[in-house]
Order: sequence, then C-alpha cells, then structure tokens
Amino acid sequence: MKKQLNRLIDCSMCPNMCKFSCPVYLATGSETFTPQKKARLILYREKNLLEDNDGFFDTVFQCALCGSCVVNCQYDDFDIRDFITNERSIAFEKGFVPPLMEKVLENFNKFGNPSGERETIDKGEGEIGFFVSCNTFKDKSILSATEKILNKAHVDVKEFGGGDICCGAPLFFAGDMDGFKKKAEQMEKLIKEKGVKRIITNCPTCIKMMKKHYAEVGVSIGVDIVHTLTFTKELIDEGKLSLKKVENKSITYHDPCILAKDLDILEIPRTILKNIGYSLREPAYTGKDAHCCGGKTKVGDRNTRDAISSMRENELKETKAPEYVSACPTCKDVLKSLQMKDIAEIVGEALE
Amino acid sequence: MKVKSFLSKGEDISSEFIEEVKRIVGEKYVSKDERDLISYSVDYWLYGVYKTQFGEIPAIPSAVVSPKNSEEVQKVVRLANKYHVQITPFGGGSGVLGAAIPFNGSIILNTQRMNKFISLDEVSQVAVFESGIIGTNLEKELNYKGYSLGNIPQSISCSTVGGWVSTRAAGQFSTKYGKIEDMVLGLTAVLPDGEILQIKPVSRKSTGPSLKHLFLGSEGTMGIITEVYLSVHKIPEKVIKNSFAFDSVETALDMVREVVQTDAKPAVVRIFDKDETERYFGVVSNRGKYQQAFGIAGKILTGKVSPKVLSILNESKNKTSFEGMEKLAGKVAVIFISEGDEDFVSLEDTVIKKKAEKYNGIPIGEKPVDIWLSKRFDVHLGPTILRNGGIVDTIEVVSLFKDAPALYKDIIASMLNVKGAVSISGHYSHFYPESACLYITFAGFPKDQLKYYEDTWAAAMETTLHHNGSISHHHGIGFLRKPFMQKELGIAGEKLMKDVINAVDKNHIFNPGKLVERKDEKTVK
Ligand SMILES: Cc1cc2nc3c(=O)[nH]c(=O)nc-3n(C[C@H](O)[C@H](O)[C@H](O)COP(=O)(O)OP(=O)(O)OC[C@H]3O[C@@H](n4cnc5c(N)ncnc54)[C@H](O)[C@@H]3O)c2cc1C
Ligand code: SF4
Ligand code: SF4
Repeated sequence: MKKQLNRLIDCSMCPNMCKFSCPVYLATGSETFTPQKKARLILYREKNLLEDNDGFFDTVFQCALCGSCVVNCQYDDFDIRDFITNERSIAFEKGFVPPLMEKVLENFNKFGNPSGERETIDKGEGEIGFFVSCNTFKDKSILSATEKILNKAHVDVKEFGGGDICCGAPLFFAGDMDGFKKKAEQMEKLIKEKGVKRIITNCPTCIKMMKKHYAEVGVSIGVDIVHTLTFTKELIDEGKLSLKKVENKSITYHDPCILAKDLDILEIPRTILKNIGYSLREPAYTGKDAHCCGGKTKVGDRNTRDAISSMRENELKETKAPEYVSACPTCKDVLKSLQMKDIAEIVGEALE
Repeated sequence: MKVKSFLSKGEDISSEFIEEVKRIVGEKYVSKDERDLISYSVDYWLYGVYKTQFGEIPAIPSAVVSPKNSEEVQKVVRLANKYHVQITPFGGGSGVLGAAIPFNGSIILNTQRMNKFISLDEVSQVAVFESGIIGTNLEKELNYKGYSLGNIPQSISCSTVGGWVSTRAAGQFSTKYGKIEDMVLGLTAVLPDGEILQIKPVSRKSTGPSLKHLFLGSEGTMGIITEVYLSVHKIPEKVIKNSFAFDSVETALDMVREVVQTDAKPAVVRIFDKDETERYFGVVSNRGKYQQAFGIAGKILTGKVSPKVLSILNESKNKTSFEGMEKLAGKVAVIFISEGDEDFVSLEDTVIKKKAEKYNGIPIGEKPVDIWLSKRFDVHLGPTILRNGGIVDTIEVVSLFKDAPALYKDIIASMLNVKGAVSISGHYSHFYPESACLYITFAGFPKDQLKYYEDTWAAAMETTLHHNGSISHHHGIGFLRKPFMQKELGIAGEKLMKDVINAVDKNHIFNPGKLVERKDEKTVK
C-alpha cells in the first residue's frame, strides 16, 4: 500500500494528464471532479485536513468508475478507482448514502437484489453456467436472444439468476463492502453448488466484480467467467453458428467502459458485426476512448449521471447511423433514446 | 479551513453578490465549498504544486463561478463591477507561471463548462470552439472530420484553447503550423466592463492596430475569451521522419538554421543537447560509467547526489535499444518530421538531408523520432521528484541565432551554479528564420527548496536578458516572471503595457497580480 499511497501523492501533483477523458469532468466542467483534484482531496482527507465531510464524500461519488483516467494515466501501476472505492466505503461507514443509491440499497435490504421482488431462474443442465445478470433479467429480449444463440449452437447450460442472486456490484458502488462481501460469498457458494466449469454472462460489470473485486474481499468463484460475446465468437469460430448476412447496413457500436477498458475486449464485437455484414460507423470517441454511458448507480449524483448519458447519446448520434448496438445491458437501457440493441440480439436476428 | 494558503487568502465577499450570481448561472455553478476552493487554488506553477503535498496551497479564491456561455459571463462581469469583486479566469489550470492563481481574494471564473465544438466551415477551413474545450478533445473532434489544428503542446490533454490564446501557447508541430497566434482568426470575449467583443474571423485586415493581438498573451487581464475561431488544415497525406547526430549544439543550430532559412517548413524540429539525447534515447556515453542520467556524474562522484536520487532520475531514461543507438553516444540528436502534400514533403526531405550532410550529421533514421513520439507526453517523473523533496521546472526563452550558442552555454552554467542543482538540460523545438526557442528543464534536490527555485529562475532570466534574449517564448509571465518585465520591455514598454491594461480594465476587475504591476497593487512575493 505504501507504493500506492506514493502514487496517490504523485497523482495529486500530476498536471491532470488524463482529465480530457473523464466523463464526469466533461459533463460538469468541474475541476474538482477531475482525477487529479480527487487525488488531492483524498490525500487531504487522509491527512485529516478537510472540514467539509459531506462535500468530500459527494466528490468521491462524482465518478463513473469508468477507467478512462486509468487508460490515460501517467503511471502504469496506478488505478485511482481503488482509492475512490476505499473512500466510498468510509463514507458508507459514516452513514453517507448518495440520493441515487438510496432506493437500490433499500431493495437489497428487502429483496437481496437492486431491482425488487423477482423470480429465481434455475434451469438447464451442463458444464457451463449462464449467469443472468440483474439487468439482463429485466431485458427479456437480450435474455431470449442469448438463449436462442445457445440453443442453436447446442450448448447445454445451467442458467441461473434472478431472486436474490446478484454479483453485488451496486453495493460495491455504494461503498457497502460488508454487504458486497456477503453477496460475493453467496455467489461463490451458489457457483460451487452448480458445479459448472465456466460461466458466461452478458454483463461486463459482473465479470469485473467476480474476477477482480471478489478477490479483494477474499472470495474466489473458482472458475473462469467470460462475456457471452467472447463465447459467441468461439462458437462462430468453431463453426457451431452460421449467420445470415445483412446487406448495405451500417451500425454504430458503443464500447461499454468495463468491457473495453478493463477487459480489453474491443475487436470481438467489431469482428462479429462485420461478419454479419454491417459496416461500422465509429463515433469520434471510440474503443478505449469511448465515454461512459453514465451507468445507473455508479455515480451518486443524478444530475451528473444524466449529463454524462446525454453527452454520450449526442456523441453517438453524430455518426447518424441507422442502428446502435452495445454489449452491456446497462448501456442499452441507459442509452435507450437511440433504440440501442445488445449485440446478442443482432446475432440472434442473424441466426440461420 | 485547515488547509492553509501561503500567498493570498480568500475574502468574505458580499452574500448579495453570491445570491445574484446564483440567479445568473444557477445555484450549482457557484460554490464556496471547501473542495472547490482547494481545487481552484493553484494552476501548474511548480513550486505551488510542490507545496500542495503538505496541505499548503498558494491562494484561496472567494468563490468559484462556472458560467455556460458568453451571456452568463457578461452578466457575472457586470455584477463584479457593481460589487467591486475581482475575477481570475481559470482555463485548464495547466499554466506554469501561476497566471491562474486567484490572488487578492478574487473569485475564480471557471471556463471549463464552455467546452463545445461549435462549427466547422470546410470551405474556408475555419473551426469554432468554445474556449474551455481541452486540446485533446478539440483535436479529436477535428480529426474525426479529417482536419487538424496542429497545435500540440505537451499539455494538450490538460489545457484549454482559451488558455492557449491567453498565454500565446506553442505546440510541438509549431515550425510548420505556427503558434496559436498564427491559428486564431477571430474570437469572442467579454471585456472588463461587461461588453461582448466579437472579432471577425478573417486572415488579415488593415483596420488599425490588431485588437485580436490584445488578447493573445493577455493572461486574463483584458477579457474573458468565450469562443475562438481557428484556422484548421486537412490531416497530412504524407509523413517523413529523419534524425541525425551532430557534434555540438552549435553545429546543430547552424544546420537547422540553414534548413529553416530555405523554404522548408518541417512540422517538428528538435535539437536535444547531450544530456537530453542521453535521457531520451538511452545512450550511455563514454563520458564515464557513472553518468547514468541527466549528466550528473560530477555530482555523484562528489557525493552530492544520493543513490535514491540517482535511481529516481534514472527512471526517466529510455530503456529500449535500437539500431544506430551507439552513434548518438556523446552527440547532439536532431529530429525532423516533415508532413503535408507528398511532393512538398519529398522536396523538404532532400533539403534536410543535404544540410545535414554539409554539417557532418550522421543519419540515424526514424527510430529516434518514434521514440520521441512515444515519450513526448510523458511527465510522470515530475511529481515523483517533488514527492522526494526535489524541485523540477522548465524555462523557455528565445533569442536570435547569433546569440543562441552563447546563451545556451551561459544559461546552463548559471543554473548549474545554484546550490542544490542536480540537472540542467536543454532542447530547441520552435524555430524561425531568425531565432530559436531554448527550453530548459531543471531539477535540484536542495535543502532550501524556495531559495533554490527563486535563485535558479533569477539566474536563467538574467542570463537571457544579458544575451539580448526574451524571457518567455510561450509559457507567459503570470506572477513569477513579473519582476523581470521591466528589463524585458524597457521602462517605456512596461508603462505602455500598464497603460493599455489599466485603460481596458478601469476598475481593475480582471486577474489581479499578473503580467505587470497594476495601479494600487501589492506585489505578491
Ligand atoms: C505538462 C505541461 C506541458 C506544457 N507544455 C506546453 C507546451 O508545449 N507549449 C505551451 O505553450 N505551453 C505548455 N504548457 C503550459 C500551459 O499548458 C499553457 O500555458 C496553456 O496555454 C495554459 O492553458 P490553460 O487552459 O491550462 O490555462 P490556465 O492555466 O487555466 O490559464 C492560463 C492563463 O490564461 C488565463 N485564461 C485561461 N482561460 C482564459 C479565457 N478563456 N479567457 C481569458 N483568460 C483565460 C488565466 O487567467 C491565466 O492567466 C505546459 C504545461 C504543462 C503542465
Ligand atoms: S474512473 Fe472515470 S469518472 Fe472516475 S475519475 Fe476516472 S475517468 Fe473520471
Ligand atoms: S490518474 Fe494518472 S494521469 Fe490522471 S491525474 Fe492521476 S496520475 Fe495524472
């Protein structure tokens, strides 16, 4: 941690070299919300130099945890989100809950998930587990398209999700690390019970939680977890799926931040879309430079979150593409004014 | 506030003013919150930045106001006149001379909400941006449409176009595309009395002294720039990279001078002195095995530099080896990038090669250019040096070619002479047919950081003036260089500048303590 603390000090004295890429800064114009100023404020909080706790806590929730600053950081070994998350957990312990997160936490208390009462999915048999993320659960067209792909390729899966099953990401975002750890342990137990060898899911955030953040709270699900996109690409390459070609169609792909920046998946969705015959219309900010959609509960402030979403919508609209696609159910939902589809739906439509 | 300011404190400004400003820009965009007062307390003035790690900040603003367009700026400025509130404009906050530090309890006027790309006229190749857009995003927006502005300062990712205009910034590709003053065709600015001034975008006119030039380099004293009209160009079709090794800075200067005195306009020309050649291209010279980085052999041998300092400085060295690398050992590297229309670029390549041959330049190929391209935005070492008790900063000056070799020699010597100095190195990266800009990077690990900092700056400024040079080529004056302005401009020149600023800003509303001494102003020391 010493090295990391040194890096925080370095960051607090950096010229803010990544600020151009921070969606919170771009959508609000606030210097205070830039990565370097956040680092300085975190440093001052740690030195006990701040008097306005609520102002500080609000600042650490003015972050989409999108990783743009990490991609553009001067230091290869520094991820300011680790510090932001740590400060969120302190905020939570002190009883600070940003307005946008209140309802979600209430739902977790009552139903063990962010959405409210819902059925549990538990069906199928196979060595592969298909984890239906909370947002996929709500989006029946993504869910059925994914099921269709798996059926067509004759892949047997154990499908699970719904009920009180959740990776715990919203708790992690809110800084409730005890709650998050409990969800992680629940997930670990469930996956062990399922006895599957590999897990697929449509949600990049679930993957990051289970791969990186579970380890931080001492939990390991013991099996690999990949995005359905990666899995679909494998099925195509193995010749298990044949796809009809579309003609004269163009589309804009929005890179979900976790998928592009943390999981490094940039080419697979583009290759699949091109295979189907789409010509791609890239927006000005794309790939690792794509701005976040704003998410749902990563940012604590509603105005900021909505400003980020509308900024991203406008950037995407600039391509004037007739269709928009992404690979994250949250992005699809947030950017719904673009009639955004999930790539599973596009593949589903193209199945012979 | 527990966080202490060491130059200037915020003042309690009237609550009526704050309430009225809230009605103009919206409640959210006026703040007296601790987090904002801290965040807008310093730009990238390096001694100030050094102090921040100890919880000390240069100055606390009285409030931070973030308007969204010219009209809101206008209303805020009118109100400031009414209540006698001073305003410090804040762009990206990357200025290195303290020009955006809010002295005298002034409020900050943050321009960063005005960050939109407004339009592109492809017929005339003119683009319009709001002033608070960050350079990288400005370039990205233009590149997306097949164009480029070509102003690529090292701070492109953290500085705004309004800041560029206000400081007369210069980018890495300046020898071909010019500096910001060559790119700005027109602008919109809110004057100190609240009038909105619009300067029409045309290439040139004969309508009296150029009003546009009042704003170029005005550092927030003449008006708040809200929109900028820029001349842009198509993304070049052809790029050729060259590099050479020369025996000395002097020979390299002669060679480059001859190139730029022809019709050639290479986009990038850089001369790295021996220390910078070593640092950039990882060439261990035969000047001694202890000379690992920054040319600090002497200091290490006499025990003045600890192994820790050595290892910090060594971190900056290039670690990849490449063919021809050994030919740069103990030499001065010069790199060129020629770009644009294919025919012109080929011709320029021929001119460059001929001139290099004339001065016995050893061709090294593209690799050093690629290394420079990959490292040119790397500033990671600076904060690490500051954290370890070191002081680091850069100084850019300009002189005629005839004075350049002596200036180089003497400025390095005078800065090395300051107690605590560890490394002084230089490069040239902006050229004209008549002159060249010398850019010095200095690092010291002194006992008394402030004294070292002040003495080093004074040494560099005095040496520059002694060699008929100008004290700043593109970073500007801020408050740090203000004490040298009279010698720079002469008594008449300094008076004229004061008279102009005082006439434009009669109530002294804008940016207190910067550029030149204003009437009734206390000097910030
Ligand atoms: C790592 C690094 C590298 C750098 N490299 C270069 C380089 O290659 N070339 C170069 O020229 N400079 C360079 N600089 C210096 C700095 O980036 C420039 O001076 C830049 O132009 C400042 O822009 P800014 O938006 O950050 O302005 P700020 O620092 O916010 O402000 C600078 C001055 O302009 C005023 N100002 C800002 N915006 C406005 C506005 N809209 N209207 C009126 N006044 C305004 C401020 O009051 C202040 O006086 C570098 C700085 C850093 C930290
Ligand atoms: S993670 Fe994203 S939103 Fe948060 S500070 Fe970094 S760039 Fe900004
Ligand atoms: S996150 Fe990295 S690039 Fe951004 S301000 Fe901090 S150190 Fe600099």
